[in-house]
This record gives sequence, structure tokens and C-alpha cells, in this order.
Amino acid sequence: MDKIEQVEKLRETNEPQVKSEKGIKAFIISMTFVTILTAALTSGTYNGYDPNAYSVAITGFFVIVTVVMTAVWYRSKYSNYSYEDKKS
Amino acid sequence: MISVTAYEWIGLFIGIVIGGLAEAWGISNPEVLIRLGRWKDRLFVGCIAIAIGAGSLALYGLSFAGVAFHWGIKPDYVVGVALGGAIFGTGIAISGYVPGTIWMALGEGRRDAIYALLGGLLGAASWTLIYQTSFGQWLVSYLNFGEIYFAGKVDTNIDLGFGIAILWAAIMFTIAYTLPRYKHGKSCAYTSLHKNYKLSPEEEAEYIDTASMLLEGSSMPLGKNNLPEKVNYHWTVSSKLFGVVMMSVGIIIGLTVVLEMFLHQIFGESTTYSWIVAKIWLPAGYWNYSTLVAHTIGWEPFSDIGTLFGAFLASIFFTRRFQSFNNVIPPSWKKRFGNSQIKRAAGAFSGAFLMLLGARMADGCASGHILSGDLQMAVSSLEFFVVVMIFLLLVSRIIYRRID
Repeated sequence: MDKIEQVEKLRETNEPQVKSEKGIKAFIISMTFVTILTAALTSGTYNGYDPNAYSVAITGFFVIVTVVMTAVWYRSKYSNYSYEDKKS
Repeated sequence: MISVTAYEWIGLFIGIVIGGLAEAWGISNPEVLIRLGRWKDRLFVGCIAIAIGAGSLALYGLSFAGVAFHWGIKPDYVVGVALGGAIFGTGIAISGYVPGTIWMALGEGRRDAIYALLGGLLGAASWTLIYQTSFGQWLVSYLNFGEIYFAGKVDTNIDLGFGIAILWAAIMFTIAYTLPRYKHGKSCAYTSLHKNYKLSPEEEAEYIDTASMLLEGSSMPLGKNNLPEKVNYHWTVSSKLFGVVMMSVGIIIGLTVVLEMFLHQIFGESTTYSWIVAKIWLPAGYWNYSTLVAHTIGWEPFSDIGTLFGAFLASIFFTRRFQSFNNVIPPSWKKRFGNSQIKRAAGAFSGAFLMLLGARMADGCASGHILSGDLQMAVSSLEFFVVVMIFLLLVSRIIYRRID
């Protein structure tokens, strides 16, 4: 077994078991469609160079909500797990 | 002549593709650019060279064949571009970020990217204020040779441009082929000439160190025998830039920039900071730079949102490096400055401040100048890249020499 494989094995034994993430992944995929739809509906057929600030703001807001909700979900699911290299 | 101008929101998809692929490369991690500054890991140079080579060939080849593009060559005001590049390179050495990787890092859930974003907005605002002064006007007008590329003025002499693009692409591919990724590693040229080459212990240690650095702070377990494990332990740490995966990613990024230029505009990331400043603080109409930005930015705010979202999606579904805003300090920074979160926040903030100030001064950043600009063979972008690299290496040497 080479060194890289040894490191992989060490990580596998130290990290928590992967739990079901279907719920959060369904949420993320849904929010992906919501974000694209929001940008498309609020920006419409405009193809110039002066974007609508409200369209950008609402699209960005949905993305921020998605990222923050996901962070909260993973933190609670894996009890604030944070990968650390055991060797270093 | 084939010509298209796409809807603005389409920019979201361009950002998602580039943000996702760059996150997979690991460029959203500030340690990657800090290691570039320490000349320890040259992944960024190799990958960007592949993207520029493939993109410039496609761009000038298609243009020669009669396809119309929305060119975005930045004017070469020699002093302003050089000074901007120097400040930009210094800012990268301190923060480990460029404007686009701040968006990607936010998508990856990196805590220090929040401070970098705030510093970046302040840096962009500072340039809006400076632009109003006579010094700012002098910087953008003195020795200004306009929008020029290697074959003349933008969108002229395309046949000559295509010829030069072939040579330019050959130079870029040669750089990626002959430059070893790791300080203690071998180049693609060496490994292909030595078929029985096996990783040396030093190079293997670099692989392991890079994988650990990329995964550090991840808030989700990686799992066993799956795609994320392959991505993190084999693909993104590999020194084979001419391997199928690395090469494909570089080519796709280059071609995506060309597609973006066909559809609407070049790929840029830093103008959005000035645009946000114009919308919330220094309004267009009174501040000249805000007026300029507000009416010319195009779909960049959408492509920047896409960049953030693409990196987020990649970090969940592809690399499993999503950090959920855990406390993570880049290893080089930790070795040099210790574990203090406040010091790291101050470094990310001040470095990003300088980096955005330099980017706006030079009218472009790693995306608008180094990727899109060098792909178009813009003279200003080549000047910018050279100055950025000199200052990145120099300032990193000063900051990190104690740990090297």
C-alpha cells in the first residue's frame, strides 16, 4: 500500500460515517431551479449592459439563503465536524 | 458574419461552469495562491496557460472564419496598469485571494472570505474616489495606447492575429508542459519521456500535503471509494497538467470564456465590486467611475453570482469540501502568523482591499486581465500579468521567508 492510500485509510477511520443527505440535496437542487427562474423572470429578455439591480439582488439573495441553510444543516447533521489532518 | 447578444441572465450559467471547475481545481482555497507566491505549487500558472492557449486558438480561429465577438481588450495605460498590477500582486500575497476566488470561497463556505469580501468592497470604493481626482485621471490617461493586442488595434488584422495566436498557444502549452507543478516534482515533459517514472518520496509528500490542505475544514465526511475521494486524492493533486482531467478542465474554461465573448462579453469578476459600491454608497451620476461602471458592466453581476453558486454546487456534489464557515486558517498563514482568527481576518481584509484597489486601477483582475485578456492577447493584460507575478513572488518571499 502506498503512502497516499495509507493517508486515505487514516482519514476514513477518523471521519464520521456518511449519513443520508437526500433532504438537503433535494433542497439545493430545488433552489438551483428557483435561482435560475428568478434571474430569468426578473431580468427577462434584456440583453444590454446596464443590469437591473433588483433582479441581481433577489437572485443573489436566494443563493445566500441556500448557502447559509446548507451550512446550518451540515453543522447540525455532523455535529460541527471539521476535517483536520491528523498528522499535521 | 455570425453575431449574437444573449440575455443578461444567461451569464449565470457561464459563472456556474467556471466557478464549479475552478473549485474542483482548488483555486478557491487561498492556500493555493499563497503557495503559488512561495513558488511551491504552480497549478494556477499551468492551468491558466492551458485555458489561454486553447481559448486564444478558438477565439482567433473562429474570428478568422467570420464569427463576431464582443471583444473586451483593456486599454494599455502603461503606468496605471503597472501600478495596479503591483498593488494587486501584493494583495494576493497577503490574502491568498483574487476577486473571483472570493466569490468561489464564499460558495465553498469559507469564513475568511467574508472579511475578504468586505475588504474588496472598500478597495473598489477607494478606486472610485481616486478616479475622481486629477491623480486618478492621470493614471488612466498618461501613456495610454488604447485597446491594443499583439497584432494591432482590437478587432483589426484578424488574419495576422490568428497567426500570432497559433504561436501564443504553442508558448502557453509549452509552459504548462515543461513547468513542474510542485517544487520537488517533475514536469509533464519529464514524466512522458520517462515512462517508468514513479513518484519520488518528496513528490508523494507534496500530493498528500495538497490533498490535506484542500480538505481541511470540510464540514462533511468524504466517504469511501467514491468520486469525491478520486477528485481530492488523485485528480486535483496530480502534477500531470497534461493528464485527461486537468487538461480537459483547462480547455473547457478557455472555451467557456470564448463562448461568453460570443454571447455577450468577456469573463470578468472585479467590476461587480465597483458596481455594488455604486449601488449602495457612491452613486452613479455624481461619481464618474460609478457612472462608467453602471452603464457598461453587462451581465457580470449575474456571472459572479453564478461563480459563487457553481463553486457551492461543486463543493457539495463533486469535491465535498463545503466548510459551513468552520474556522480554517490557511496552513502557510498559520505557520507564519499563528492560529489567531483576528490576525487572519485582518490579513484577508487588508489583502483583499489592496487586491481590489489594484484590480480596479488596472481595469481588470485575474479574470478580466489574466484569463480573458491574455486569451485575447491584449498588451495591457500581458503587462499586468508580468507585474502581478513579480510582486506576488517578491512580497510572498518577504512575508513567508521564515517558513520557507
